[in-house]
Amino acid sequence: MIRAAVLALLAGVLAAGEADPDGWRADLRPRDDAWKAVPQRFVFNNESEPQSLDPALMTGVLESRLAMALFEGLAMRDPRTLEPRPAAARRWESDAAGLVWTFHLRPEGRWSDGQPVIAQDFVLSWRRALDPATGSEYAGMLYPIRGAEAYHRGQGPADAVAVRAVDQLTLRVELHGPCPWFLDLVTFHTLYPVRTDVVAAHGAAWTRTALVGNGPFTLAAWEPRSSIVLERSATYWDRERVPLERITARPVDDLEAAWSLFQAGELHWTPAIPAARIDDIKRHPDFIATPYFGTYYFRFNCTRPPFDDARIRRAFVRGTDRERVTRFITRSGEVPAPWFVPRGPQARGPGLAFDVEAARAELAAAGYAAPGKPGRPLPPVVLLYNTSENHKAIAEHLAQQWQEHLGAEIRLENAEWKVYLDRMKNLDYGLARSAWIGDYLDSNTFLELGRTGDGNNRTGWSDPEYDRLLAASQIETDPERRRTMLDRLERILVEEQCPVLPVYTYVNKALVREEVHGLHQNLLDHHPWQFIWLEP
Amino acid sequence: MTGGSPGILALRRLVGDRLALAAFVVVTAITAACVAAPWMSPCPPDQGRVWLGALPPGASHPDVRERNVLAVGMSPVLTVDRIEAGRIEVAVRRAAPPEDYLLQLRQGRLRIMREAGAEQIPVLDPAGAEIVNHPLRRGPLGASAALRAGEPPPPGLFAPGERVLQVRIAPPAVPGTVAATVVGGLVTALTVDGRPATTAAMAGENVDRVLVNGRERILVHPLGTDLQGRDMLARVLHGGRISLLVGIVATLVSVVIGTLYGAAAAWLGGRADRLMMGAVDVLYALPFLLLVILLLVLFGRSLLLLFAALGAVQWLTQARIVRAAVLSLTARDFVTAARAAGIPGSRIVVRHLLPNCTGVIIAYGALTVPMVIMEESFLAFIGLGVQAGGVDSWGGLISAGAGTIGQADWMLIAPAATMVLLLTALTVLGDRLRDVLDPRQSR
Amino acid sequence: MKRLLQAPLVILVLLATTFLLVQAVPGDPFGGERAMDPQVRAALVSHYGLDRSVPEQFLRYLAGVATGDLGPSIAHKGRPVTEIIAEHLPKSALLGGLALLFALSAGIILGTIGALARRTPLDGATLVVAVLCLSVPPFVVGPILALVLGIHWGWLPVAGWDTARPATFILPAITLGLPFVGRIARLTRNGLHEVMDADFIRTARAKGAGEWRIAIRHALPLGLVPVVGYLGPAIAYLLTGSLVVERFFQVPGLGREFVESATNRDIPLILGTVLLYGVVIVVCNLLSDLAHGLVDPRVRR
Repeated sequence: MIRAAVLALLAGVLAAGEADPDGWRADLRPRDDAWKAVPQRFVFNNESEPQSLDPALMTGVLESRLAMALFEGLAMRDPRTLEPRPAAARRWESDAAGLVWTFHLRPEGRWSDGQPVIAQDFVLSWRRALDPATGSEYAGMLYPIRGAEAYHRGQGPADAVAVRAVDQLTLRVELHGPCPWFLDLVTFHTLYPVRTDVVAAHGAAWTRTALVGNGPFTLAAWEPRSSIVLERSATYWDRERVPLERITARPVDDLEAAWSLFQAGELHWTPAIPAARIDDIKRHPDFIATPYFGTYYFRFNCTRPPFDDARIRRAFVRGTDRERVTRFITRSGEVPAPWFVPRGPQARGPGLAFDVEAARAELAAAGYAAPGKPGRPLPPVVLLYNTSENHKAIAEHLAQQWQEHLGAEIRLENAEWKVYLDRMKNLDYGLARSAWIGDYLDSNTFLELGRTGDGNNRTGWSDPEYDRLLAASQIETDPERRRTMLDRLERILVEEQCPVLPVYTYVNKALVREEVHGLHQNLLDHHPWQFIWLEP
Repeated sequence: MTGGSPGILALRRLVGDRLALAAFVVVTAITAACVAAPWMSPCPPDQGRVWLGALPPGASHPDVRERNVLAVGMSPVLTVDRIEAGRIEVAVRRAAPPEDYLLQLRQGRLRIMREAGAEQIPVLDPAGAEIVNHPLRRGPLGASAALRAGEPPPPGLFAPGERVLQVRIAPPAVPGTVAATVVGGLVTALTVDGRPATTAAMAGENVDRVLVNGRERILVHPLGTDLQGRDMLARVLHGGRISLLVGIVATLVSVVIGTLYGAAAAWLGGRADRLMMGAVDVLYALPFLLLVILLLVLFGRSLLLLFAALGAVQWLTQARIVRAAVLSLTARDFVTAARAAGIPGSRIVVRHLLPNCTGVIIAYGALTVPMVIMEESFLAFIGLGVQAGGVDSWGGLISAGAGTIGQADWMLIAPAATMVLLLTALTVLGDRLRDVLDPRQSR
Repeated sequence: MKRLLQAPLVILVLLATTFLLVQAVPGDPFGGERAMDPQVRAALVSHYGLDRSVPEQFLRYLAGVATGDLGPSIAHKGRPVTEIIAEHLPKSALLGGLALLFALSAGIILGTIGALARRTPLDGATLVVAVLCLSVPPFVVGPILALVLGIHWGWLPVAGWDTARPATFILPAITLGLPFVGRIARLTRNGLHEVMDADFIRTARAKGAGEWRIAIRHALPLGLVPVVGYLGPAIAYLLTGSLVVERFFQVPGLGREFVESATNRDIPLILGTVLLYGVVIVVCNLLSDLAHGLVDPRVRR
């Protein structure tokens, strides 16, 4: 009895990470010293020129790849499981309600200029991200913190943001309600610390001229549109166990060029693959594909006929043979998905399966005629997509399907990116090709899109019941009850009201040279640099 | 020289020139083929058979659609043609879709990846696995025991130096026959594997053979198909209609505007000339792309607009060249003489100067057609090209084809060769025309 | 001289026109696929001064230009436009210069051969070669060159731009210059063609000078007049219009900034690149006119 209690206590202590907060790292490191014989210089294609290296301002995947090398948040994700693990904080705890979080920083944490990383750095950095004048597009990531939203919207003072430095190494954060994915947010780049004194001294140019970070690498050179060179930091707390000595990021934004460079042996890793060459590239021994936390879907304009009628929307959903899209057009293992929230490889979700007869029955119920039958035909529908060979191929194929299955006349309209965004925002479309990549590993990042008036809804669809249930799910702490709610929400989205027509779950396609180790494939395409090394 | 008007003489010289004649034949042939495209190819350019993928030139397959339905009381949804009467027999295969796997040798260990789902597989039973897409080793995989990921592969699985195998496990297919009788365009009787039925739906990829009244229906693709299984011949010909139209109309627009503008500027001279050429400089420097985006957005994606946009840019160079040519002529004696004789300026320009510039105008005009078509292909390359009802211009086809070099070369070669051939012929023709039309050349 | 004085006016009109054009084109310079918080957007709009009236914005911009400040780029999160131009212009200039060198040398040689071999099969052959150069789009030439010379034979780097590896310059310069080879060859041939019939050439011919000697010594300077007239636009185009080549060969040049500024609606960068482009065109045209006058006495008045 006593033994069990002691064990439980021990387990509790271990869970809090007191014993060895970094034990999880051991499995991610080289097993022997063979790698030491190889120059640890890693060159990869970062897909494009980053817009900024300021973690508060950056918005894209490619910027966050570099931020992961230059900065370190309180927590980081285990690249195999994506669980939040200790990083700049060596442990943390929360109260029973999940409202007050206390993070304990590593005493050995150092900035690249040698100064210690202290709790106040986080306080100031988070306030900076929330300051409306900073113009951080992802400041919303901090909204679970009490007072954050008010400050960001200019309705409250900065010091009302409930982030406090209890002492040099202790940070206390209070949330305004339970947030089941708060630790996920803590791993996100908007919550990385920056040196506000450096930012103040150098202004907007600080990332180019005076970048000080607390990550495993430092910025050694930045030649716009040519390369960004990162070198192993001499001050990072775990520098002894960072194998790579240099990372060169090349902004190759042309997929053909990236493929050429990879073939010519100039890149270790390229995450961008020209879609038209997929059959060839699949035969390359370095090809890798894994599911990604993103959904390719179509939005219906629910404010305009014919899609203001849920029956017509359901008819289109049921009249879509997704498998033909993934099997014959995208051809690299995308998962046909009638559900909206991406899932792991084998998991299945809700959604309406392909069924021509059922689709035609929905049409008939709404008063329209099936193909070849007398009656009112569907009005022509404008399908909006943005310029890309892949989107074009999918749109052309689905237009053909809907013509055959539903007798719908689809007018394809290809728009340049900004025009496309504008038209979607103004609901100037019938059907619009869309995609959503989750920001954090929780269904909420997808289901929020269905909320009335959400900036990313862009369908004009609104359902009070959905909004109520979504709000309830966001503060539900019981995992089982929350799962039921999320499932119900998704069913409304993909089976009943159908403001969206999901097509497939994205896959991450990449070419990775054989000597690269530790580039674990995961749902978020998340690759912490300190666990990557080269070994032939 | 013998008699005859200068025009006849010029024409005679042109006909005598073999290169010009060849160019003329090429231009006429391609233009005629494009104009006649709707009647020349049995395949519509925008209807894909996605399961075909990119087939090489000359490939053929049963003439069926993506989704084929034979149902009693309905017209058959099967081939391109409407079937009015007779007997239809379809040989089909019923099978679950094949499972594709990638076997990779990485760091001495085996990695197994399921393509559909892109997931890592721990164990693969090699029974029934065939190597596909491997030039030398097509056929059974030849492993006996189960393959396990993370372990070294069984010896002999990979050839020396080889690191990847693409493997397919196809579930056994059950062959079957669907037969229908058609009267007056409607199916009156239907059997599936000899048993009466009311409806039969068949995916295109599962149809092996189609017989209509005993004759096999086959579609041949002389130039192959694109990645979505669309007939390249049809696409090239239909694309040509768009490209030719763009080239001709935009060139006409640009030649007319450019010539008049350039000549006027040169003749007026002084401040007017500087003002007019200054305006040209301004227009030159305007971001063309922004202009095109704006026009496309404001007026929709219409063909006419693209002509206007392209013509509106090309005339600038035409204007500069005509202006330079006119300037160099105004100093000549015959112009001075005409001026002294009190002939009005507009008459001098039209009757004396412009005819003397014909060579320059035609030479540059001839260069403008390919330039416009190229300009359009650049727009197509960045995704703003002309598209009409699912048909791409040559530029669109070429930019799609350029992305498949080394994999489906015919997708590039067919449109690129046609376009290059036509542009070359057009320019040669224009060049020779200029030679014979230039009054100073007829000696 | 008057043209020289007129140049600033041309630039001013150009900037004003572009400014209006930018206002008219739909699309938000801020944000991307994700909706932006209205608060954040308002802060950014005011940071970049886009909340002011259009005339005020324009005047402020002009005031900035006068002091050499082209404002901060929006897409590059506040990086000064002058810095971006200073960074990429030299690379574009080098690429354009190499391409022009290639185009001029190959084009003039090809054109001269064509003019001398007038009405022979050789003329036809040069014509066909020149026209082929013109008719194959760069996005076909680029991938083919990279595939054959870069990957199959491994002679040249497939992409990238590295001053330490001048070999990286070759493929982009050839791809960029190729259409100009065709154009310059045609202009040279036609120019020479006309000149070869001129009286002073006939005189030279009567004196018994060889055809080649006549062509190079007497006819070429005058025959190149159309080429010189074409140089202005050609240089301007080579400098900023090389999007396809810069993209495919990953040259960090200005062409991509120019096009991407338009697709990003990055107003300060659009104006900055247009300004530069305008200056280059005006200067090139001036120089080209000057040179025109020098080589062709008929233009001198």
